[in-house]
Amino acid sequence: MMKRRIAIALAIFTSWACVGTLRFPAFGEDDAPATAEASAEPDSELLRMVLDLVGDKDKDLRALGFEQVRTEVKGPAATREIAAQLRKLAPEAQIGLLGALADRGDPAAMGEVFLLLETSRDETVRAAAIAVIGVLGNVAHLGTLLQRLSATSEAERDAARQSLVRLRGDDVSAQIALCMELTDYRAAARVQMIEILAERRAQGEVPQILPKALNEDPAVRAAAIKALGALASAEHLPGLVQVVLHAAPGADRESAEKCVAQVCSRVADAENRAKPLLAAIEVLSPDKQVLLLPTLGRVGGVAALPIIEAALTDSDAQRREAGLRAICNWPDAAVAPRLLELAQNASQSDEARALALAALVRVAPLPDKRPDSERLALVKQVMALCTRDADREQVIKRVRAIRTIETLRFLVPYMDQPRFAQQACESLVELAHHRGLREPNKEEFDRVLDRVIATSQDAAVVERAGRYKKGQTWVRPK
Amino acid sequence: MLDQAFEALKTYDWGADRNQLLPIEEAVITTRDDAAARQALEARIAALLAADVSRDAKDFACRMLMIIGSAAAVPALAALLPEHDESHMARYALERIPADEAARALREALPKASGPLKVGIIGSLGVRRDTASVPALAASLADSDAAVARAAATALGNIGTPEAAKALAASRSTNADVKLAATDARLACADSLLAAGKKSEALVLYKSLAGEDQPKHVRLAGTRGMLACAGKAQ
Amino acid sequence: MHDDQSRTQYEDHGRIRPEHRGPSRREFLKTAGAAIAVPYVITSSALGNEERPPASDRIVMAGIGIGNMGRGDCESFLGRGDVQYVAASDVRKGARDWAKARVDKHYQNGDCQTYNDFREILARGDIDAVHIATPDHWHAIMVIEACRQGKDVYCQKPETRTLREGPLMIAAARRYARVVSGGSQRVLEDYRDTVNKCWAGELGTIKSINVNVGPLSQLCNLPAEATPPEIDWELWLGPAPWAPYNKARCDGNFSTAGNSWRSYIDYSGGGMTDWGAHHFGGATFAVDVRELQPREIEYHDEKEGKFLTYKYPNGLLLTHNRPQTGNLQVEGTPGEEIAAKAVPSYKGDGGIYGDFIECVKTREKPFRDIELAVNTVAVSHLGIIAYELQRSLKWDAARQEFPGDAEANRFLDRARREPWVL
Repeated sequence: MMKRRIAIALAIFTSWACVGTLRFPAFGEDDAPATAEASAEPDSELLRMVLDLVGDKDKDLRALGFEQVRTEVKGPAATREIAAQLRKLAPEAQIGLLGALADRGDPAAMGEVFLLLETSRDETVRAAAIAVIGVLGNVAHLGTLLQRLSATSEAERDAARQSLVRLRGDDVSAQIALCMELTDYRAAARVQMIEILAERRAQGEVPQILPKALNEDPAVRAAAIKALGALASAEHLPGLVQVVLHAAPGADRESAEKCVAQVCSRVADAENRAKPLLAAIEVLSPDKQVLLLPTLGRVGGVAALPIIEAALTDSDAQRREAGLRAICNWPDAAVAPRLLELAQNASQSDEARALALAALVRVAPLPDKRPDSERLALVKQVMALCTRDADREQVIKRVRAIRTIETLRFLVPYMDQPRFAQQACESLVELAHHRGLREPNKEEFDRVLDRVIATSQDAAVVERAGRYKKGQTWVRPK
Repeated sequence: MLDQAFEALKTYDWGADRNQLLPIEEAVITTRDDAAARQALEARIAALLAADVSRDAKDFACRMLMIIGSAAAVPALAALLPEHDESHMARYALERIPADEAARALREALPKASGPLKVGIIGSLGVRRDTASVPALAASLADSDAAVARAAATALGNIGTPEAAKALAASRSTNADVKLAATDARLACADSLLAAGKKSEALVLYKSLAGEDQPKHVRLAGTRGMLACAGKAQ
Repeated sequence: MHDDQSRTQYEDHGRIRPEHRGPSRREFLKTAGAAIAVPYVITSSALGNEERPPASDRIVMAGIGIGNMGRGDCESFLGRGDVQYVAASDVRKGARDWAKARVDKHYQNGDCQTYNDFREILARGDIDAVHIATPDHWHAIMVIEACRQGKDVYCQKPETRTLREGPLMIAAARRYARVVSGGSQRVLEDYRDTVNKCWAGELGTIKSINVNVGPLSQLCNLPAEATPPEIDWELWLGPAPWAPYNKARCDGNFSTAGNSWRSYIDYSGGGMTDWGAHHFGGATFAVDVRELQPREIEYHDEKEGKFLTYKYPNGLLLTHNRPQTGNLQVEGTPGEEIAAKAVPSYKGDGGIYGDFIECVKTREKPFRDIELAVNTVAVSHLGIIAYELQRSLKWDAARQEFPGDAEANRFLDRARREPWVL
């Protein structure tokens, strides 16, 4: 089986490598569905009308023809006759007919589509033809699509990538993964293939992607880690912890840790999300286990907590520091009391207290099962602990997640403090954005929004405040 | 509560507290499985239409009869069809009451009506797809009031039978608005005929509208219809 | 034509004065190059702007209803080089004046024509497309009339006020091969994360999705106020039941709490249709049932509250206001791997407006094709009827009726006030 797969991959590579001598795939038995409907003769009168329309100079009339191509005049014989019109049309009409043929869904059009792809001088037409291959093609067309990933035309490259994501067939993802191994590909091509596999939700190819997360090329590594975060499951955690250990401290390590947390977040039992990770960690040497504590903290949950607690009070300084980072990475406010303790504990270093405080600022307002009043009370407590304006500003920014009128009242006084006024204005319009909160408290919001308009130096914030006062909506720019 | 609500209707007018009428709205729904109670409720509401109450109160009564009105309420509603202020709300109920008596009341009111009220009655007959009104609607196509003729064309398009199509084909109006409505109605009839399997009759209509003498979007409509006929198995 | 001259009286509403029928755009453009007189609508400055497509390639547009949403739509189309905005219609003088000032300032000329009666815009042969942003009770009449006059249409959501209107709008669009786009930009843009997860197959087979939205609109009995001279009140009401003027009855603000037309049953379905068009649109898009309508609406009256379960023919469940369930909360099949599908998106550049204009040029169906928009608002209407009747319903989407249910079928439509006919 594996030999056959490799053979196909090599064949695909060969076809890719033979630029200029690309062979059209054979269209015959493989492409024509052997159904009664497919073998029926096309309705000659309707077909004649449709052929006239798709070739018409008037785009409205052509559109009528395309509409028929999409759903009517059944059968592969009709498809071939219609597709044969492609070579006679102007580019604009060719693009329209290609789209209609894709929607028609009959692979019998592919011969003409390939002919157009190879002969058209118009890159938008070629891109449209590539898009059709993505819809009507199969694994046999992988070579063509992979080749076009490095076309000089951006439109063609984009279309090829989209088509590789769309291409149907059980073997397609596996073949892309195998092509990834071929030595002649540049790193950029591998990155694209990994991204395509992620978009295809190719979970079966995780074992092929995992080694790429250890690749020497940083772009390949980054693409693989991102793909694994989306595709991998608990069974792949032993491999993923190696990725974390391999990653250099800093941004690389952080993205690897987030990848593991993302995978664990898909474990259905929320409280036990750390369990498969713990199982993967337990078999490692103690020094490696320490390195993985911050990752465990990102996953959180009751199973992880005793281990982190133990590390926090361990006699070994390295282990304590890892424990501190772990608890500061916690994904929710369950550890808030412990963080409060750390932030206020004079025996902790300044750095440790600052880390704990930053973690509190992050988790205190997070939406969870706590009542809004409890969340806001914690935020106020955290604010009281802040000694730096940068932290206070973060509190003012993040408190907007608690959508209550009490939050508005908490924020209003900060408009009077020049250091915080701009951030307070932004958070206040964010609160006002929520109609369900704003409308029942319209008078109070209107008064505050007037002050925002008078205070804010951000034109967008002022505009939003004005819109909300008038009961208008605002669309967040993408 | 219900009695109080009916009492409130005697003096009900724009600006009055709408909540006073909620018991009637609730009764309209909750009497669903109690035929006698619903009949009594319907009679009580219908009686308001002849009483000395405000336009607003009658408006409310018609809204309720739209939901529960039967043949029994038709005479009271029909009596309002010639009234400038109340004709529409009478139709608001009559258009939606399934009983044949409702359609008959609209048909009978047609010859006596003129101007906008006639337009409204024609519109309601069209929405009901009342085939019995085709002769009267055909006659209205030639009405000197273009708004009436236009409405008749639209109504015939809604009805969509071969008879309706025939009446539309005979329209000779030179008024641009009437011609526009008649063209649309003929296309609607053709669609109905094709859906009913009358392909050759539909094709004749489509072909007649696909010629160069028609505006482009009408030609497109005719051509589209011809394609549909060609694709439709006999 | 001066604005005051365009003002039509109620008695004229059944007719369109023939003198307002302009030349066709193509006819005009044929002669525009040689013309020495002041052009009728396309100005010499418009023809000479080298940074824009030539005038003959631009889409000539007009707006109907220039209130809160209409102004935004007007600005969006006005900002496009491939659009020439030539006219606007509104029953309020202030809105007309705003449109004229805004459009004329944009083109640095005085050519924008304004009208009280939308039919005068639809009768102009030089206009390719219109955007409509009136209160909802006008949408169907305007969209259908626009199609009959050969115009493409961008219509704000919610596109329909009754269930019967939807198929008539679709039929008009298809009959005349018009591009008709609905107006919810939020369907694609607000729920991207959910949409992407569902279409990528990440959630496995989708079993259900929930939408939290409301409230329903209510009957309006506001007192009469003196009708300001700036509004043509009869034309504002149009096909809706007559009622005296009251500012809160016709205010265009986005509230559904009683101080806007969105609160009242004759003009709107309330939050259920207004925000429902966005949320139900996003939900049905996310779980890929936007081409379908439900076949059953189950009404629940439980301790936690009243809510609905819509059942789709493919087995998917869409719940409305299900207790303890978030908006657009999806229930998938954890652990199941299903194939990814390409997520449909806008064509052209410039969001939903660009999508519409691109489709006007190519004659393709827009992202928010009227049929998809109608299917969305049908969800709202079906829900409203179930809540009104306080019971479950069965729905035959092909026949557009509640099978064997005479009581519910009465709610399919409501009689229009003369002289408006559909």
